[in-house]
Amino acid sequence: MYQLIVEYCTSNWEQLVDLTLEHVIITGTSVLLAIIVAVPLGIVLTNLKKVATLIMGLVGILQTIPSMALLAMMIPLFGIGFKPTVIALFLYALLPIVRNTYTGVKEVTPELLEAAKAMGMNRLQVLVKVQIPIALPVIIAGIRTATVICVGTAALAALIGAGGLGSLIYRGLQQLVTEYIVVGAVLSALLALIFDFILGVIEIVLTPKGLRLR
Amino acid sequence: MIKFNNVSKTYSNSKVAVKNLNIQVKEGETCVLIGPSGCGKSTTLRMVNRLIEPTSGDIYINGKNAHDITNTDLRRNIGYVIQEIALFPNMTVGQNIALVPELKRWPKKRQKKRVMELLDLIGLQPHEYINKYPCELSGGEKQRVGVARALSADPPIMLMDEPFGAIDPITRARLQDEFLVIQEKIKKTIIFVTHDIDEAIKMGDKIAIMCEGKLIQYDTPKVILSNPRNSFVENFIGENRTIKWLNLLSVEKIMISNPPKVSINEKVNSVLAKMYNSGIPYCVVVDNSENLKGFISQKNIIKAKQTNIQNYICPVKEKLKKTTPVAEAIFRMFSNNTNIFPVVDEHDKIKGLVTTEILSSCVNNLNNNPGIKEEQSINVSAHC
Ligand SMILES: Nc1ncnc2c1ncn2[C@@H]1O[C@H](COP(=O)(O)OP(=O)(O)O)[C@@H](O)[C@H]1O
Ligand SMILES: [Mg+2]
Repeated sequence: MYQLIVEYCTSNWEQLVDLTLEHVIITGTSVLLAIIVAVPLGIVLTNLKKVATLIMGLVGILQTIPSMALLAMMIPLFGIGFKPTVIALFLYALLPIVRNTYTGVKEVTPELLEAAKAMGMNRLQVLVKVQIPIALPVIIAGIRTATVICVGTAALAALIGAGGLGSLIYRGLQQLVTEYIVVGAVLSALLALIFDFILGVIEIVLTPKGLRLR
Repeated sequence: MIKFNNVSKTYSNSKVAVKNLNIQVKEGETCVLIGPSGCGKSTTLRMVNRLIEPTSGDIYINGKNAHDITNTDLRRNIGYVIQEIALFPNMTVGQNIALVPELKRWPKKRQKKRVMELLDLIGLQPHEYINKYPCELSGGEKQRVGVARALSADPPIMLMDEPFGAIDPITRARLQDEFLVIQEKIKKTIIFVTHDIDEAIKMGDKIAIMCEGKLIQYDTPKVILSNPRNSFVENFIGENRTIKWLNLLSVEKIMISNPPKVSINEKVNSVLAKMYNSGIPYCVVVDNSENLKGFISQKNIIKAKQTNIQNYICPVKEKLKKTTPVAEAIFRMFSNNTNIFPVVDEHDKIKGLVTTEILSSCVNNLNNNPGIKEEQSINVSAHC
């Protein structure tokens, strides 16, 4: 078994690299889009208490849809391939990022906000100089969670023709070739670990020193 | 100067927090707002920098209606210190202090210079502390930095909301003393909120006692302690008033300030004339190089037979610092067997006089006032 896997890997490494890259691109695009939407959304929501509960609820519901079902729902709406996959993963990645941005920004104490205001800072200055730096570690933790979820879910997205490591696993299942399944699953798990590690490092680097010392 | 003109604040839940407040704080003076929790002290304070807008009435800052000044201009020229201190945890001590100068776009060099200057002023070694983070500081150090941050752009006005409230008693006493020394140098116009009467007596030039949004009494610590307006004020001052008062009140607050100065060569008549003109029955005698030689009291020269004043001069036995408590002055007066003391500032410059009469009137005022007898049972539920 072990030998078969090694043999398969050595003779097909170029294809494996392609599939891994595809996987990275799908995940990366989805998470990036989610960051672009979710971070500002989370910040805006901190100023709209009532709307916040509603929107977070809606985003939360998206998360409860089983990933298979969500992917399947994409087919009638957007067809198959890269686009519907990214849309589905994007929806999945929203919640952790919005939620963490919202909590992170909200966690800045009222006293700090009052002090900032009393020093003559405007809303934007308070946001940029105080709220975002203090919330940053929590926001990045949300991005980490989202990324790990997306790497896993992207493996399932081969179902709607997304490509990536999932397609290898599917081929394995259809043709009953264990090597394919094992290699696909291991690589995708490895990818999740690597992403998590890199983002962990980024989280540390971007955490203001004064917060790291605590 | 800060002036409250019929200021009222009703919150949106129709809670009346401040009712028809009229207070005037002179330039360079510290006004302490005191009263039970929820009486509207913080609300009053926060209307000055418009963190809260008054429902009616006006607040004037150096003659200008605060309402006509933009929020940013107003706030960047008013220092604000709160109990929670609220240093920004993501910034260093230096960055925290430099915030308002940064917002005012001072050049970096000037910002740095100012930060060093202020760290020095608050007694923290500048090079050691400038790059520390708030989480590395003790409570007392944080509060000092909070004060430095409020002072950074040299605002003429400071608002301080229970600034030493969350600090242990020993450190608190030290911070109070330090702040008094700083205030002596910087002469800001200060509104200081506290619920601790001892702190109010110690820090305030004037004390405003509030209850349920209303101003009950606004007077100097001396008058508040000797003539509490009603049982609420009395009750608020608390027990052991006489001793508390004598221990807390500094001679600066009871001294005869700016007594007339005469030269050692002057004649009795001209000295008497100076006393009449100033309305102060004492004179300070100095020699030609302005050195203090002694005092003359009116009653000693009013029937003088000689025209020279030399023989009527009482010598200087001891000098008192402005911050000397009255109780200590009384003790020293007895132990020195003298009846007049000069009060000097930190540069040894004479600022005023304290006499036996003044000291005994302090004690008598308290004892003769029936409201202030220690034995008297205090009506705990006294209402305003
Ligand atoms: N934002 C607010 N909305 C409604 N009521 C308030 C608000 N802030 C303070 N109050 C009420 O106004 C009164 C005065 O509050 P405050 O000025 O904070 O009192 P103090 O500082 O003297 O303890 C209190 O009864 C308080 O509950
Ligand atoms: Mg308060």
